[in-house]
Amino acid sequence: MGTLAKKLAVLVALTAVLVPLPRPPAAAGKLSLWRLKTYIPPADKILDANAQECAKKAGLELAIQTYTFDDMWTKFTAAIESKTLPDIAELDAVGPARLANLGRLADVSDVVAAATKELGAILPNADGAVKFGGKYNAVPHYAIPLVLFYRPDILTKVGAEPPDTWEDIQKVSEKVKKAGVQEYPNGFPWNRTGDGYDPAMSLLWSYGAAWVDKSGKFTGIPKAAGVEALRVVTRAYLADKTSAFDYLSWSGATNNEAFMAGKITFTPNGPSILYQEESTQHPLLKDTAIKVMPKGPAGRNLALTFVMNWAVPTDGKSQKEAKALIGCVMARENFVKYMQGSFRQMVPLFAKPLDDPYWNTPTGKIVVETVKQGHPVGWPGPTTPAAAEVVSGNVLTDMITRVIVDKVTPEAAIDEANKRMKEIYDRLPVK
Amino acid sequence: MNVLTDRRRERLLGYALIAPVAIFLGALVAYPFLSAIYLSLTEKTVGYPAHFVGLRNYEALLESGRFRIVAWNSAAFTVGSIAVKLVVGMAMALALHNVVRGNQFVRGILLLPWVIPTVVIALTWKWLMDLFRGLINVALIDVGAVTGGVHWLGDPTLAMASVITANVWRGFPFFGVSFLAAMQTVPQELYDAAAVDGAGSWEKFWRITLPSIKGVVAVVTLLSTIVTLNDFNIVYIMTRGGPGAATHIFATYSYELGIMSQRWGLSMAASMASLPLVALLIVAVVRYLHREEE
Amino acid sequence: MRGATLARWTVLALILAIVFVPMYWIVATSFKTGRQILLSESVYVPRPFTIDNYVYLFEESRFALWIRNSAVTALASTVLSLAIGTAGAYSLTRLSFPGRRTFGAIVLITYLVPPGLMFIPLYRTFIGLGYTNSLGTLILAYPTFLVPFVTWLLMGFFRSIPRELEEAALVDGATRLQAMVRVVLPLAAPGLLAAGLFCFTLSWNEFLYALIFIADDSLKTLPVGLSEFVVSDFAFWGQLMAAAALASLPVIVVYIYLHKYMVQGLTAGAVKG
Repeated sequence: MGTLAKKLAVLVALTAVLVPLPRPPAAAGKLSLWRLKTYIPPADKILDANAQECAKKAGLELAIQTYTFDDMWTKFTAAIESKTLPDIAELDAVGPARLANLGRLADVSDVVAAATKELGAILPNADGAVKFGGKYNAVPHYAIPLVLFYRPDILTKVGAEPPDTWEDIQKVSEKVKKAGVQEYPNGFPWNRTGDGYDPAMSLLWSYGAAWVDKSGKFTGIPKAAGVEALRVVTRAYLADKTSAFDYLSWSGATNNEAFMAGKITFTPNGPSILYQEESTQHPLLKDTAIKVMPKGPAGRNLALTFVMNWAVPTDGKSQKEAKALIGCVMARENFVKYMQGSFRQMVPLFAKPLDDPYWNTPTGKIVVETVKQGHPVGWPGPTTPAAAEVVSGNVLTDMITRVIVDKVTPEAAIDEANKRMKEIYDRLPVK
Repeated sequence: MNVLTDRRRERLLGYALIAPVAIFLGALVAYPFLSAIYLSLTEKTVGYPAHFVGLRNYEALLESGRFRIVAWNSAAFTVGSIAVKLVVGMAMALALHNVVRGNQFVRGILLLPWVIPTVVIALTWKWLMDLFRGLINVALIDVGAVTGGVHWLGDPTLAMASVITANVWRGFPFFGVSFLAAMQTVPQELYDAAAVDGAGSWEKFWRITLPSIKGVVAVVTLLSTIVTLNDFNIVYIMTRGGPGAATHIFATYSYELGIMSQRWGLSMAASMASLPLVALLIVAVVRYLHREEE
Repeated sequence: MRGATLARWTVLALILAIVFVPMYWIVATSFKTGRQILLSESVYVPRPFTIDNYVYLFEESRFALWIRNSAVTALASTVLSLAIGTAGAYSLTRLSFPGRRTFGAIVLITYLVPPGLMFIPLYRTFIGLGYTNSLGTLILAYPTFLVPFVTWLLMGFFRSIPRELEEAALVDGATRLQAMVRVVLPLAAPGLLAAGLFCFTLSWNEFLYALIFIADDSLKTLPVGLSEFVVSDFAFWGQLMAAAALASLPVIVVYIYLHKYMVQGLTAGAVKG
């Protein structure tokens, strides 16, 4: 027992040594910045260096913190409630709409105007996510657009052209399956990640099944168009079985991995697969190609959900300094350096850097085109808090999996989704 | 006189020593818990003020088909996990019971899953069960047991079993080690007497071992039920509640409502739904302990 | 008898295999290159193997910091829970005062309040106290599920210690408090150690509170830090598994050495409890 008591004493002593002292309060002239941690560490480093350099010039101390896509809303929810949002926040596609509606974002129209001088006009389709009531509440930073990844070698083997419509993808997938090349070639996952809800919007929109009008007011998914769109999904998962049920519980990384393992012919994804294949000298790199996401009967209406935007929350005391810092990070020289270190992943939302020869490669052209065509969450209206909840509450992908997993009829699934959305729009009315 | 002051002193000391527990649990458990009940009766979106709506959140949940699925999944996840942990834990304890050599070491090894951070366990199992590259499928294909991979996390019926497997892997060692320790307190004479009566091993287990350790079994089951009912990591990381809502449970559902959809009122109401089960447990345990005390 | 022995070893081998395979997978993956992982090359044994993942942990990530934060949080909340719980358990078992039974029941009931239910209201409470985003927040938050357990476990333990020993000390002129510290606590040391290990493990592994209550990068704990190796589109499996292996190592060593106390303590408490 004596030794035991000693052990306990050591434990207690150790704790006493390790317990941290209270942290000193934030000094004046100190800024906090939260940014997304991306899958490209070198690009993150350039961004941090740029920001620190800007802060140094302004005589400020800058504390940078990161979050991942998975814990972004956990972190922001906590900060919203405790009124401890950072001085500068990099927000996702729906963040500006949510926070602006709460009156928690500063007007940054002046920063946008300055950035426009440096970088050229802002893309008109980027406005919907950041401009509310005629003024800007956030500055678009970059977009990582979803494109269609496919395997040209497999297409050649089965004698198929690269698909351009949702219908084509399914037809080619069937061919690949029939030829015995892959069992489940169609890697559209419809899961609870961006690889699920982003294509879900593109699919619905390209079948003319948006749930709002141009002002962003709720109209409901039109049943006939919605049923047509859902047929694309049921064919893949239920009728032709060219997609595996496993795909429905994929995480954001699993479709990259499945593609690189050579198990699927198609998958919707940001250009990250190219980056991964290049950085590991992957043998499939030469057999990897991308294309703009497919179109449907109502046209090619791409969703652009992976957009990051700089905002200045009003919780902070140093809004002027915060704005200046964003301006500096978005200054031409800094921004271009960052962009060019992004392995063609981070696509600008301003005209001039998009014309940079950097994007003049076969794949670069495609991601730029996608960004130029992409629509914000809640299209054809602007992004609203209600539209944000439709996406983050997984209403659209739930509708899809209700049909696939729970074998509900497409009509009933659309009714359910419309009911859920109506409740959301009643609660968060669009002004 | 002396006796009286002694008694008063004892009372004072009694209150003084229980005070920290009372203050602590009052401030950080009881108060938040009561405020959770209140929140569940309000419409509260993150950043906006809460306003009282009575039982509307509960009504909304009861009407929602999704919620019924979640409740059913939670029950299946909890009962399934606990049942398998009981069986495997008991098998482990029986296998180790009365083995002298290497017992300590083996027990130490077997406790390891319980020590590894749950986040790691969930990620590891997710990857073990990967359709294409997971060790399980690769090995099954290599030995020719299956031709294509098994959809461990994708098949709606298999997915629940798969997340239960990960949960069991994490939890059974605690069962086994606790049972084993309890078995070692059972007097050998009982077994010897039973042997004289001609009882077989199976009979000994039912007649002597199990009744002697039932207290430990009850307590361990209770502890684990609470932890399992609230498990968030394993499901969130492995399937996010998918495919569809096939593995969505209370914890992941209230996270989706509370954090992703920013609806704290509804989220709280959804969490409260697990309380009837917990209340039942409380009653069972309190009654059990009372009986033991008498 | 031989049949029984065979069955025993078969079960044991099977269970060991079940425990071993995922752990092997963690270790094996931690020595693979990104390419080997992506391409499913040398699945079973990494050939050639690399220690790059481990190097990365210390040179590029904040792994050491996460370990420190977790250690501080887990140790401090363990000590805090032990202190509060021991006093409470002693009071509830050894001292008689009105309302004792009610207190005992309340402690048990609070233990059953699900933590999953608590993350939002508890966070609001901390916001109200103006005390968020500090390791101290977690050090105060973890005992909400640890204190009831410790109290309850030690109550069983204290009951198993004969009152006579304590009374002898009282006769010798010690005060009640002295008797508790000098006589009862040393005898309850295995129970304290068991409770401590249990507390430490639960705190060390806790994820949800740590994710929500802590915003500061430099204050992240290990489980939250580990989840950062999955960055939206890209899971850094090699580095993640290296971190997992290293993070488990210290706790594993402690357990191989100390687990018998934990088992003793748990069962002593439970049997009597």
